[in-house]
Amino acid sequence: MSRILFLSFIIYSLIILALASVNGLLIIMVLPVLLYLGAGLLFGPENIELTVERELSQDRALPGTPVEVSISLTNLGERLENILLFDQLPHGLKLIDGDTSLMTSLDTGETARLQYSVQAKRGYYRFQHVIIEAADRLGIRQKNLTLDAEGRLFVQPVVKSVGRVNIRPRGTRVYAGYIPARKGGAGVEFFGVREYQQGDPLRWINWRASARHRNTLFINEFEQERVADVSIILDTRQRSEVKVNGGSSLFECSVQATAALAESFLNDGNRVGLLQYGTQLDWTIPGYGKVQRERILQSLARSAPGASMIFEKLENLPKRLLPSNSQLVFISPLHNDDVDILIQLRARGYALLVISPDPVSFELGEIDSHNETNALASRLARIERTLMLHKLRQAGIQVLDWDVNIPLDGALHVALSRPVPQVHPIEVRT
Amino acid sequence: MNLVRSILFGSVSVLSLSLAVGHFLAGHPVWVFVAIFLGIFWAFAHLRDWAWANSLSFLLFCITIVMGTFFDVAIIWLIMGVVSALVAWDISYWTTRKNRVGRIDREDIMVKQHLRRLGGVLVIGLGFSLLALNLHLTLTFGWILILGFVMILALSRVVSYLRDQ
Repeated sequence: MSRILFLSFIIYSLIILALASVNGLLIIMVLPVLLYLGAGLLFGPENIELTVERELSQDRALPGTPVEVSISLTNLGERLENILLFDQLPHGLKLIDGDTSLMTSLDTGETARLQYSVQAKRGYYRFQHVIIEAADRLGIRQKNLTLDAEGRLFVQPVVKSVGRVNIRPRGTRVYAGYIPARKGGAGVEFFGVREYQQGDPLRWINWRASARHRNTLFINEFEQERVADVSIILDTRQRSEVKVNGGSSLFECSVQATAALAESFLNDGNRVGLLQYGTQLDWTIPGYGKVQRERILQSLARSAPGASMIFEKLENLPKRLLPSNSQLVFISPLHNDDVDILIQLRARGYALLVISPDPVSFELGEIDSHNETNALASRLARIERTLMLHKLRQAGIQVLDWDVNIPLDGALHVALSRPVPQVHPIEVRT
Repeated sequence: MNLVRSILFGSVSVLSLSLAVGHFLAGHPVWVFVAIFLGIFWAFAHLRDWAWANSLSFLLFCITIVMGTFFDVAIIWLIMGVVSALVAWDISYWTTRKNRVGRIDREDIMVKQHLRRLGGVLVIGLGFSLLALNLHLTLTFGWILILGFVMILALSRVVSYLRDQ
């Protein structure tokens, strides 16, 4: 209840009672209360002119890194005798040092500063406004304000180095890179032999082949190495999230794998795009270099699993967004109904690499695996998963069945050291 | 801050004791117990950080004071009670407000300025009360009409202010 209202109620009640009972003593009792109220009304804030600024020590941080938040409150109007400043922390941020509220008084032109440190898990955090309560010294007359103090913080996933990932899409771009382009020219790996043309370097002449043909010289050709289009598809469907006892999350492993792979592909000069498929389609348009790395990491900072009726199954994957004959990297624990869609993508000419964090070993690591029921259940789940992955491999899809307890780097290089199955796309006649 | 707490407990004690003594001297032992009980309740509520109890305690003490005027309690005890009740209510509010924030800038200065304002207001209020005790005015109907008008005006200002809020 407002203090003014409360005091007014008491004062009026006493005066009315005094008049009704013709008791002058009650009027005498009222006087100190009346003066108290009058002083509050007299010295209370009239026009409040405050500006507020928020500064963050960094707008991008890694999980667990302390970030300092500083709020400056400047009084441009008349003196304010008592001010309470409350900052509201976005959900998920953890206060590790300092306070988010302050009581102070401000003369004209004076500035008060509130500083505190927070840390957070991966995510996107938006600071919006601060709440001000200005009052006189006795706290009688109070005015509340909400001032905008925008700020945003991206807590990006930790990017672990995975070295170079060997991929071999059918189509490449024109710029030089590290991906074999299935085209003869300058390179390292032997590609074929062709007739000598004016301007070809003499040291490339294949003398053995030339000796077999009179008046004709042949030269060696090498396989060109170029950059390629790589589209990473991160499965953010709620059904792909596995959380045991509310603790560690399999989705976080997927996000970290996405960040590591995006970094690797971008470092090799490829054009990389990211599609998050789950609650909605979050498409980071393909691009090159550090700017694209930043875009992808910011997109991953916002990433969270969610449910949607439309994107429950992979059949609504927007294939038009994905450059034809490019490399697709699908990161998902996988479900049985995903298999057909992935095989269809392979049949369309995409080179497909599936990184599948293993939910069975992940869950087993968190529960009692010696329990007979759990052991049997995990065995059945593993058989089902093995069959599913086998079906994908048979279709010429590279699959990494990733036990998340093993670093991605090691797991990737073991899995990708095997030759890529060569399956040619099916030509669809219309 | 210890000073604030001391003032709060001191004012609650003075309030409770002055009303208890006043009612005792007037021969109303029930109200003695009421005053003591309310004092203990207010102090306990402060220790338990029951912010809602501050205004309730203040209101109940006001009722005790009003009853005192009808039971012929000596006016000095009642005035002392009113002033102490205001101090206790004000300091309780200050403490509640202070507890809501994590940091206070220049706390010592703010406390001193607050106490100075409170002290000044209460000394003037006490002065007016004592003056009023010795001042006898006979108000004509016209004056009563004017005072009534001022009261209505003040009430309307309070209502409009609260509506603005």
